[in-house]
Amino acid sequence: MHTTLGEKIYRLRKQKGYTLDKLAELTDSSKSYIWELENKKPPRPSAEKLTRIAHHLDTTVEYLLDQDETISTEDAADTKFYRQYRKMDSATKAKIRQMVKLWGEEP
Amino acid sequence: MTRTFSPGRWAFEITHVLNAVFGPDHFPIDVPVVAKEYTAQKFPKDPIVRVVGDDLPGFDGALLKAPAGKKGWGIFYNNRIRSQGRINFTLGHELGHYLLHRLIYPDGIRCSEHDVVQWGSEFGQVEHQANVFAANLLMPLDDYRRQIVPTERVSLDLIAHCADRYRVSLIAATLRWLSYTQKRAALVVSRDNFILWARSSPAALKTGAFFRTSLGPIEIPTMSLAARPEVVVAGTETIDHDSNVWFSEPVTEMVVLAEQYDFVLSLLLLLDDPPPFSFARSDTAAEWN
Repeated sequence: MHTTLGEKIYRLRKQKGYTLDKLAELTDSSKSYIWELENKKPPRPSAEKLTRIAHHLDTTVEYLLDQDETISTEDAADTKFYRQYRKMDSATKAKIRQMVKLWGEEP
Repeated sequence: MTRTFSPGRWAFEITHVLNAVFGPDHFPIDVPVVAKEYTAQKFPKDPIVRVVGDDLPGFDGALLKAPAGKKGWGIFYNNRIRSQGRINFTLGHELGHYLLHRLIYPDGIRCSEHDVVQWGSEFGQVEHQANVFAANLLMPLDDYRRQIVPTERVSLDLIAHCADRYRVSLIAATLRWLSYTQKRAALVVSRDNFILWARSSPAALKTGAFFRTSLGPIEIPTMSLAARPEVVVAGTETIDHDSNVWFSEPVTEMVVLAEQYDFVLSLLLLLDDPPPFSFARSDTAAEWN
């Protein structure tokens, strides 16, 4: 799964059955702030807020922020033009590479 | 030679060929066949030779160069996406990348799900051009105008008929209709009662009926159908709102719950002429107190 910070918060919140209102209240945030975190990727979310959000979603800030994007040299070459590619599931990436390798003989 | 056609011009070139070969009633377009046949004729040294679908989670499609020693290009796509319309649009999009961008990106281009769902919101120029090409190819305006004339008031059924005819998603068909209709209308896509993105028809835009989502999250009206999914039966519903629900004027809202993507579509139809003069919404008035 390619999960950004926003997607992780959204998914964990749904799993806990919290509405936006509920998580906002628990973390002393505004509803629109939480929504923006989940859907619009604001550039620098506050560490304090993230800590509270992580606490109430029973997870860690490290988990929320880990983008699973340690870039290998192979990826770096691949991603030159592919904006979203790094977020892709590594199994999917491998499969696409394999499909290209087995291109087959076309007339 | 490098051809520098616009996305619309490329789509028209292909539409012209399809009209000549199959007649004007050639929908939905079989993109894999068109991609291979057309590029084999037009660019025999560098054609699209493969269009291959597979189970590729988190992925929509890619245009990729053949490995060393082999000729041409391949389109790879995720064939497990539930919406055939979205798959078709992706294939059109990748064909667009081939025609428009393969010389600039000689190794190919990959696209994530995100880009296509968010057609109409922020994304790069290159993705935008490929989408414009796909919309023009799959839904040529002359044919669309015959299905829904520009002065006609739509229903969801009518747009769903077009989505079927062109084998595209309801969102893609709605956006295409919004681009040429003379009606005042807007599409609002929301999640958790805030607007993800919205698009107005030219007539609605000119008369102030639009949402400025770039200025921060906009909450949808509590009285809207989109905010009350519990009253929506069988995934879709239409309601006539009074003034001051969505806008300062009455609005017909047609709502579709797209549960598989966790968002709600609201198609808003407004009066042909905006109210002559109005002090907009009550919350604006409240600022004076």
